[in-house]
Amino acid sequence: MEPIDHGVVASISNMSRTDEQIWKDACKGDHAAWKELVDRYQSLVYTVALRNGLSMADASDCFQHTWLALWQSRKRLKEPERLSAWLVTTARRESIRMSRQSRRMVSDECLSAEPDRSATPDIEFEQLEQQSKLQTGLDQMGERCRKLLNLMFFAPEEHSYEQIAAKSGIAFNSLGPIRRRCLEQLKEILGKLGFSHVRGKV
Amino acid sequence: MAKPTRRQDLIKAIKKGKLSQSFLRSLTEDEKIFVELYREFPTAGLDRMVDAPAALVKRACEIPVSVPVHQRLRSLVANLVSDSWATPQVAGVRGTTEIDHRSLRFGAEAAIVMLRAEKQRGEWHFLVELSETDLPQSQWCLKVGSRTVERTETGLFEWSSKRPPKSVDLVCDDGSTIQLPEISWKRTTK
Repeated sequence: MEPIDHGVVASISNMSRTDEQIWKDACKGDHAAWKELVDRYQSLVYTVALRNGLSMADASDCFQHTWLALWQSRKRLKEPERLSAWLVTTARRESIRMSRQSRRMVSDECLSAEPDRSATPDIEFEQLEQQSKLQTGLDQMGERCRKLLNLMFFAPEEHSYEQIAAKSGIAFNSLGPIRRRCLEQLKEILGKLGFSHVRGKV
Repeated sequence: MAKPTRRQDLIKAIKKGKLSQSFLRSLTEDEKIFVELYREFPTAGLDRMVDAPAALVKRACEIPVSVPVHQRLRSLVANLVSDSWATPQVAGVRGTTEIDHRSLRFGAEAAIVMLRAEKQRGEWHFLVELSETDLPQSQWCLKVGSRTVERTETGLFEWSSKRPPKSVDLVCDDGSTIQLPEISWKRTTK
Protein backbone atom coordinates (compact mmCIF):
# COMPACT_ATOMS: atom_id res chain seq x y z
CA MET A 1 0.00 0.00 0.00
CA GLU A 2 1.16 3.51 -0.81
CA PRO A 3 2.29 5.62 2.13
CA ILE A 4 0.07 8.58 2.99
CA ASP A 5 1.36 12.06 3.76
CA HIS A 6 0.34 12.27 7.39
CA GLY A 7 2.43 15.36 7.85
CA VAL A 8 0.33 17.43 5.47
CA VAL A 9 -2.63 17.93 7.76
CA ALA A 10 -0.40 18.94 10.65
CA SER A 11 1.27 21.61 8.58
CA ILE A 12 -1.92 23.01 7.04
CA SER A 13 -2.57 25.42 9.89
CA ASN A 14 0.83 27.07 9.40
CA MET A 15 0.61 27.30 5.63
CA SER A 16 -2.98 28.40 5.08
CA ARG A 17 -3.24 32.09 5.75
CA THR A 18 -6.40 33.84 4.68
CA ASP A 19 -6.31 36.75 2.24
CA GLU A 20 -7.28 39.05 5.06
CA GLN A 21 -4.33 38.01 7.23
CA ILE A 22 -1.86 38.39 4.36
CA TRP A 23 -3.39 41.72 3.32
CA LYS A 24 -3.05 43.15 6.83
CA ASP A 25 0.61 42.22 6.93
CA ALA A 26 1.20 43.66 3.45
CA CYS A 27 -0.38 46.94 4.52
CA LYS A 28 2.00 47.08 7.48
CA GLY A 29 4.87 47.03 5.01
CA ASP A 30 5.61 43.31 5.05
CA HIS A 31 7.05 42.86 1.58
CA ALA A 32 6.92 39.06 1.79
CA ALA A 33 3.17 39.24 2.44
CA TRP A 34 2.65 41.45 -0.61
CA LYS A 35 4.64 38.99 -2.69
CA GLU A 36 2.52 36.14 -1.33
CA LEU A 37 -0.63 37.94 -2.51
CA VAL A 38 0.83 38.59 -5.96
CA ASP A 39 1.89 34.94 -6.24
CA ARG A 40 -1.53 33.76 -5.10
CA TYR A 41 -3.51 35.80 -7.59
CA GLN A 42 -1.16 36.60 -10.46
CA SER A 43 -2.70 34.01 -12.77
CA LEU A 44 -6.23 35.14 -11.89
CA VAL A 45 -5.51 38.77 -12.80
CA TYR A 46 -3.63 37.87 -15.97
CA THR A 47 -6.29 35.40 -17.11
CA VAL A 48 -9.08 37.93 -16.57
CA ALA A 49 -7.23 40.38 -18.81
CA LEU A 50 -6.68 37.77 -21.52
CA ARG A 51 -10.25 36.47 -21.35
CA ASN A 52 -11.43 40.02 -21.96
CA GLY A 53 -9.72 39.87 -25.34
CA LEU A 54 -6.65 41.99 -24.58
CA SER A 55 -3.42 41.37 -26.48
CA MET A 56 -0.47 40.08 -24.47
CA ALA A 57 1.02 43.58 -24.32
CA ASP A 58 -2.25 45.11 -23.12
CA ALA A 59 -2.85 42.26 -20.70
CA SER A 60 0.58 42.99 -19.20
CA ASP A 61 -0.38 46.61 -18.84
CA CYS A 62 -3.70 45.72 -17.26
CA PHE A 63 -1.90 43.34 -14.90
CA GLN A 64 0.41 46.08 -13.65
CA HIS A 65 -2.46 48.52 -13.34
CA THR A 66 -4.46 46.12 -11.18
CA TRP A 67 -1.65 45.50 -8.71
CA LEU A 68 -0.72 49.15 -8.60
CA ALA A 69 -4.36 50.07 -7.95
CA LEU A 70 -4.50 47.50 -5.15
CA TRP A 71 -1.39 48.90 -3.51
CA GLN A 72 -2.72 52.42 -3.81
CA SER A 73 -6.04 51.33 -2.30
CA ARG A 74 -4.44 49.85 0.79
CA LYS A 75 -5.88 52.50 3.10
CA ARG A 76 -9.35 52.24 1.63
CA LEU A 77 -9.99 48.57 0.93
CA LYS A 78 -12.94 47.74 3.14
CA GLU A 79 -13.39 44.01 2.69
CA PRO A 80 -9.97 42.35 2.43
CA GLU A 81 -11.66 38.97 2.72
CA ARG A 82 -13.10 39.68 -0.73
CA LEU A 83 -9.74 40.55 -2.22
CA SER A 84 -10.00 38.14 -5.15
CA ALA A 85 -13.35 39.64 -6.15
CA TRP A 86 -11.81 43.11 -5.94
CA LEU A 87 -8.95 42.02 -8.21
CA VAL A 88 -11.31 40.45 -10.76
CA THR A 89 -13.50 43.57 -10.84
CA THR A 90 -10.55 45.93 -11.18
CA ALA A 91 -8.86 43.86 -13.90
CA ARG A 92 -12.16 43.56 -15.77
CA ARG A 93 -12.86 47.29 -15.64
CA GLU A 94 -9.37 48.08 -16.75
CA SER A 95 -9.55 45.54 -19.61
CA ILE A 96 -12.81 47.03 -20.84
CA ARG A 97 -11.42 50.53 -20.56
CA MET A 98 -8.29 49.54 -22.46
CA SER A 99 -10.31 47.81 -25.17
CA ARG A 100 -12.39 50.94 -25.65
CA GLN A 101 -9.33 53.15 -25.64
CA SER A 102 -7.61 50.85 -28.10
CA ARG A 103 -10.60 51.01 -30.42
CA ARG A 104 -10.53 54.78 -30.34
CA MET A 105 -7.05 54.59 -31.82
CA VAL A 106 -7.93 52.49 -34.85
CA SER A 107 -9.59 53.72 -38.00
CA ASP A 108 -13.31 53.31 -38.62
CA GLU A 109 -12.93 50.59 -41.23
CA CYS A 110 -10.85 48.52 -38.82
CA LEU A 111 -13.38 49.19 -36.08
CA SER A 112 -16.23 47.58 -37.99
CA ALA A 113 -14.23 44.35 -38.22
CA GLU A 114 -13.44 44.32 -34.51
CA PRO A 115 -15.34 41.75 -32.45
CA ASP A 116 -17.09 42.90 -29.29
CA ARG A 117 -14.40 42.14 -26.75
CA SER A 118 -16.21 43.18 -23.61
CA ALA A 119 -19.02 40.67 -23.72
CA THR A 120 -17.50 37.93 -21.55
CA PRO A 121 -20.30 36.87 -19.22
CA ASP A 122 -20.10 37.49 -15.48
CA ILE A 123 -20.43 33.80 -14.74
CA GLU A 124 -17.11 33.10 -16.43
CA PHE A 125 -15.33 35.57 -14.14
CA GLU A 126 -17.04 34.12 -11.10
CA GLN A 127 -15.79 30.71 -12.19
CA LEU A 128 -12.30 32.11 -12.66
CA GLU A 129 -12.35 33.46 -9.13
CA GLN A 130 -13.51 30.11 -7.79
CA GLN A 131 -10.89 28.36 -9.89
CA SER A 132 -8.24 30.60 -8.42
CA LYS A 133 -9.34 29.81 -4.88
CA LEU A 134 -9.35 26.13 -5.61
CA GLN A 135 -5.89 26.44 -7.15
CA THR A 136 -4.65 28.23 -4.03
CA GLY A 137 -5.88 25.28 -2.00
CA LEU A 138 -4.32 22.75 -4.33
CA ASP A 139 -1.01 24.66 -4.31
CA GLN A 140 -0.78 24.16 -0.57
CA MET A 141 -1.00 20.40 -0.80
CA GLY A 142 1.86 17.98 -1.15
CA GLU A 143 2.95 17.32 -4.69
CA ARG A 144 1.50 13.83 -4.87
CA CYS A 145 -1.96 14.84 -3.67
CA ARG A 146 -1.97 17.89 -5.91
CA LYS A 147 -1.04 15.83 -8.94
CA LEU A 148 -3.57 13.13 -8.16
CA LEU A 149 -6.49 15.52 -7.59
CA ASN A 150 -5.64 17.57 -10.64
CA LEU A 151 -5.58 14.47 -12.80
CA MET A 152 -8.65 12.94 -11.29
CA PHE A 153 -10.99 15.83 -10.80
CA PHE A 154 -9.75 19.13 -12.15
CA ALA A 155 -7.85 18.47 -15.38
CA PRO A 156 -9.65 19.72 -18.54
CA GLU A 157 -9.73 16.21 -20.01
CA GLU A 158 -11.00 13.19 -18.13
CA HIS A 159 -8.56 10.32 -17.56
CA SER A 160 -9.18 6.69 -16.86
CA TYR A 161 -8.08 5.20 -13.53
CA GLU A 162 -5.31 3.33 -15.31
CA GLN A 163 -3.98 6.56 -16.84
CA ILE A 164 -4.18 8.36 -13.50
CA ALA A 165 -2.29 5.54 -11.79
CA ALA A 166 0.40 5.65 -14.46
CA LYS A 167 0.74 9.44 -14.49
CA SER A 168 0.68 9.89 -10.73
CA GLY A 169 2.97 6.97 -10.01
CA ILE A 170 0.46 5.56 -7.50
CA ALA A 171 -0.40 1.89 -7.53
CA PHE A 172 -3.82 1.26 -9.08
CA ASN A 173 -5.18 -0.41 -5.93
CA SER A 174 -4.11 2.49 -3.74
CA LEU A 175 -5.88 5.17 -5.77
CA GLY A 176 -9.14 4.92 -3.82
CA PRO A 177 -7.85 5.45 -0.27
CA ILE A 178 -5.29 8.05 -1.33
CA ARG A 179 -7.69 10.18 -3.35
CA ARG A 180 -10.15 10.16 -0.47
CA ARG A 181 -7.47 11.25 1.95
CA CYS A 182 -6.33 13.97 -0.47
CA LEU A 183 -9.84 15.29 -1.02
CA GLU A 184 -10.37 15.51 2.72
CA GLN A 185 -7.11 17.44 3.03
CA LEU A 186 -8.14 19.80 0.25
CA LYS A 187 -11.46 20.44 1.94
CA GLU A 188 -9.70 21.22 5.17
CA ILE A 189 -7.23 23.58 3.49
CA LEU A 190 -10.01 25.43 1.67
CA GLY A 191 -11.86 25.77 4.95
CA LYS A 192 -8.80 27.20 6.69
CA LEU A 193 -8.27 29.63 3.82
CA GLY A 194 -11.82 30.82 4.39
CA PHE A 195 -12.83 29.69 0.90
CA SER A 196 -15.11 26.83 1.76
CA HIS A 197 -18.27 26.71 3.82
CA VAL A 198 -18.75 22.98 3.50
CA ARG A 199 -17.02 21.10 6.24
CA GLY A 200 -19.48 18.37 7.11
CA LYS A 201 -20.48 15.41 5.04
CA VAL A 202 -22.95 15.47 2.14
CA MET B 1 -10.66 0.91 -23.82
CA ALA B 2 -9.89 1.98 -20.26
CA LYS B 3 -12.92 2.90 -18.15
CA PRO B 4 -13.07 6.67 -17.49
CA THR B 5 -13.54 8.10 -14.01
CA ARG B 6 -17.10 9.08 -13.10
CA ARG B 7 -16.31 12.79 -13.09
CA GLN B 8 -18.51 13.71 -16.03
CA ASP B 9 -21.42 11.68 -14.65
CA LEU B 10 -21.12 13.42 -11.31
CA ILE B 11 -20.92 16.88 -12.87
CA LYS B 12 -23.90 16.14 -15.09
CA ALA B 13 -25.93 15.01 -12.10
CA ILE B 14 -24.98 18.09 -10.07
CA LYS B 15 -25.87 20.41 -12.94
CA LYS B 16 -29.26 18.77 -13.29
CA GLY B 17 -30.14 20.17 -9.89
CA LYS B 18 -31.46 18.23 -6.94
CA LEU B 19 -29.55 15.05 -6.27
CA SER B 20 -31.71 12.09 -5.35
CA GLN B 21 -31.05 10.19 -2.14
CA SER B 22 -30.50 6.99 -4.11
CA PHE B 23 -27.88 8.76 -6.23
CA LEU B 24 -26.11 10.11 -3.14
CA ARG B 25 -26.18 6.66 -1.55
CA SER B 26 -24.53 5.20 -4.64
CA LEU B 27 -21.51 7.49 -4.25
CA THR B 28 -18.25 6.43 -2.68
CA GLU B 29 -16.92 8.62 0.13
CA ASP B 30 -14.50 10.50 -2.12
CA GLU B 31 -17.17 11.03 -4.76
CA LYS B 32 -19.33 12.62 -2.06
CA ILE B 33 -16.49 15.00 -1.23
CA PHE B 34 -16.06 15.80 -4.90
CA VAL B 35 -19.79 16.58 -5.24
CA GLU B 36 -19.53 18.77 -2.17
CA LEU B 37 -16.48 20.63 -3.51
CA TYR B 38 -17.88 20.92 -7.01
CA ARG B 39 -21.05 22.58 -5.73
CA GLU B 40 -18.89 25.35 -4.32
CA PHE B 41 -16.08 25.34 -6.88
CA PRO B 42 -17.68 24.38 -10.21
CA THR B 43 -14.43 24.56 -12.09
CA ALA B 44 -13.54 20.96 -12.90
CA GLY B 45 -12.80 20.50 -16.56
CA LEU B 46 -12.20 24.18 -17.26
CA ASP B 47 -9.06 25.37 -19.00
CA ARG B 48 -6.29 26.21 -16.61
CA MET B 49 -5.62 29.82 -15.81
CA VAL B 50 -2.63 31.40 -17.49
CA ASP B 51 0.39 32.32 -15.40
CA ALA B 52 1.62 35.86 -15.96
CA PRO B 53 5.18 36.11 -17.36
CA ALA B 54 7.75 35.92 -14.56
CA ALA B 55 9.09 39.42 -15.33
CA LEU B 56 5.62 40.90 -14.83
CA VAL B 57 5.10 39.09 -11.56
CA LYS B 58 8.49 40.29 -10.34
CA ARG B 59 7.61 43.88 -11.20
CA ALA B 60 4.26 43.61 -9.44
CA CYS B 61 6.05 42.25 -6.36
CA GLU B 62 8.27 45.32 -6.38
CA ILE B 63 5.42 47.84 -6.45
CA PRO B 64 5.62 48.66 -2.72
CA VAL B 65 9.24 49.70 -3.10
CA SER B 66 8.95 51.32 -6.53
CA VAL B 67 6.04 53.62 -5.69
CA PRO B 68 7.25 55.76 -2.82
CA VAL B 69 4.75 57.51 -0.63
CA HIS B 70 5.11 61.24 -0.99
CA GLN B 71 4.05 63.37 1.87
CA ARG B 72 3.44 66.46 -0.17
CA LEU B 73 0.57 66.33 -2.59
CA ARG B 74 1.31 69.52 -4.41
CA SER B 75 4.25 68.29 -6.40
CA LEU B 76 4.44 64.64 -7.24
CA VAL B 77 6.99 62.93 -9.36
CA ALA B 78 5.49 59.86 -10.99
CA ASN B 79 7.37 56.62 -11.38
CA LEU B 80 7.26 54.43 -14.43
CA VAL B 81 5.34 51.29 -13.55
CA SER B 82 5.04 49.57 -16.87
CA ASP B 83 6.11 50.05 -20.45
CA SER B 84 4.87 47.87 -23.29
CA TRP B 85 8.16 48.34 -25.11
CA ALA B 86 9.91 46.78 -22.15
CA THR B 87 7.49 43.86 -21.98
CA PRO B 88 9.20 40.65 -23.02
CA GLN B 89 7.76 39.30 -26.28
CA VAL B 90 7.16 35.63 -26.85
CA ALA B 91 9.58 34.36 -29.45
CA GLY B 92 7.96 32.90 -32.51
CA VAL B 93 4.52 34.38 -31.89
CA ARG B 94 3.55 36.50 -34.82
CA GLY B 95 2.00 39.88 -34.32
CA THR B 96 3.18 40.46 -30.78
CA THR B 97 5.75 43.13 -31.60
CA GLU B 98 4.02 46.46 -31.89
CA ILE B 99 6.72 48.93 -32.87
CA ASP B 100 4.24 51.72 -33.55
CA HIS B 101 2.24 51.28 -30.36
CA ARG B 102 3.33 52.00 -26.86
CA SER B 103 1.56 51.91 -23.53
CA LEU B 104 3.12 53.51 -20.50
CA ARG B 105 1.82 53.59 -17.00
CA PHE B 106 3.00 55.80 -14.16
CA GLY B 107 2.14 55.84 -10.50
CA ALA B 108 2.31 58.76 -8.12
CA GLU B 109 0.78 58.32 -4.71
CA ALA B 110 -2.93 57.66 -5.37
CA ALA B 111 -2.77 58.74 -9.01
CA ILE B 112 -2.28 56.50 -11.99
CA VAL B 113 -1.35 58.07 -15.31
CA MET B 114 -1.70 56.04 -18.49
CA LEU B 115 -0.16 57.14 -21.73
CA ARG B 116 -0.97 55.35 -24.93
CA ALA B 117 0.80 56.22 -28.18
CA GLU B 118 0.21 55.06 -31.71
CA LYS B 119 1.98 56.06 -34.89
CA GLN B 120 -0.15 56.36 -38.01
CA ARG B 121 0.99 57.74 -41.35
CA GLY B 122 4.07 59.32 -39.86
CA GLU B 123 2.22 61.06 -37.06
CA TRP B 124 1.99 60.10 -33.40
CA HIS B 125 -1.39 60.10 -31.67
CA PHE B 126 -1.50 60.20 -27.91
CA LEU B 127 -4.08 59.47 -25.26
CA VAL B 128 -3.48 60.15 -21.61
CA GLU B 129 -5.78 59.16 -18.82
CA LEU B 130 -5.44 60.29 -15.24
CA SER B 131 -7.12 58.24 -12.54
CA GLU B 132 -6.99 60.31 -9.40
CA THR B 133 -8.58 58.68 -6.43
CA ASP B 134 -7.39 60.79 -3.53
CA LEU B 135 -6.30 63.86 -5.42
CA PRO B 136 -8.40 67.02 -5.34
CA GLN B 137 -11.37 66.93 -7.67
CA SER B 138 -10.17 69.89 -9.62
CA GLN B 139 -9.46 70.82 -13.18
CA TRP B 140 -6.40 69.21 -14.65
CA CYS B 141 -4.61 70.00 -17.87
CA LEU B 142 -1.62 68.49 -19.56
CA LYS B 143 1.59 70.30 -20.42
CA VAL B 144 3.51 68.80 -23.31
CA GLY B 145 6.55 71.01 -23.66
CA SER B 146 5.06 74.47 -24.18
CA ARG B 147 1.74 73.08 -25.36
CA THR B 148 -1.31 72.80 -23.12
CA VAL B 149 -3.79 70.01 -23.71
CA GLU B 150 -7.21 70.25 -22.07
CA ARG B 151 -9.25 67.28 -20.97
CA THR B 152 -11.94 66.21 -23.40
CA GLU B 153 -15.52 65.40 -22.43
CA THR B 154 -14.54 61.76 -22.14
CA GLY B 155 -12.00 62.66 -19.49
CA LEU B 156 -9.00 61.90 -21.67
CA PHE B 157 -6.20 64.10 -22.91
CA GLU B 158 -5.68 63.65 -26.65
CA TRP B 159 -3.22 65.21 -29.04
CA SER B 160 -1.14 64.45 -32.10
CA SER B 161 2.33 65.49 -33.15
CA LYS B 162 5.12 64.53 -35.51
CA ARG B 163 7.43 63.71 -32.62
CA PRO B 164 6.70 61.98 -29.34
CA PRO B 165 7.08 64.11 -26.19
CA LYS B 166 10.07 63.88 -23.92
CA SER B 167 8.32 65.47 -20.99
CA VAL B 168 4.71 65.46 -19.90
CA ASP B 169 3.34 67.18 -16.81
CA LEU B 170 -0.14 67.24 -15.39
CA VAL B 171 -1.07 70.53 -13.82
CA CYS B 172 -4.05 71.13 -11.58
CA ASP B 173 -5.78 74.48 -11.14
CA ASP B 174 -5.02 74.36 -7.41
CA GLY B 175 -1.32 74.34 -8.23
CA SER B 176 -0.66 70.61 -7.80
CA THR B 177 1.49 68.97 -10.43
CA ILE B 178 2.31 65.45 -11.42
CA GLN B 179 5.52 65.27 -13.35
CA LEU B 180 6.17 62.24 -15.50
CA PRO B 181 9.78 61.10 -15.78
CA GLU B 182 11.58 61.77 -19.04
CA ILE B 183 10.52 59.27 -21.68
CA SER B 184 12.98 57.81 -24.14
CA TRP B 185 11.44 56.91 -27.50
CA LYS B 186 14.43 55.00 -28.85
CA ARG B 187 13.46 51.40 -29.10
CA THR B 188 16.23 48.87 -28.89
CA THR B 189 15.41 45.85 -31.03
CA LYS B 190 16.54 42.50 -29.70
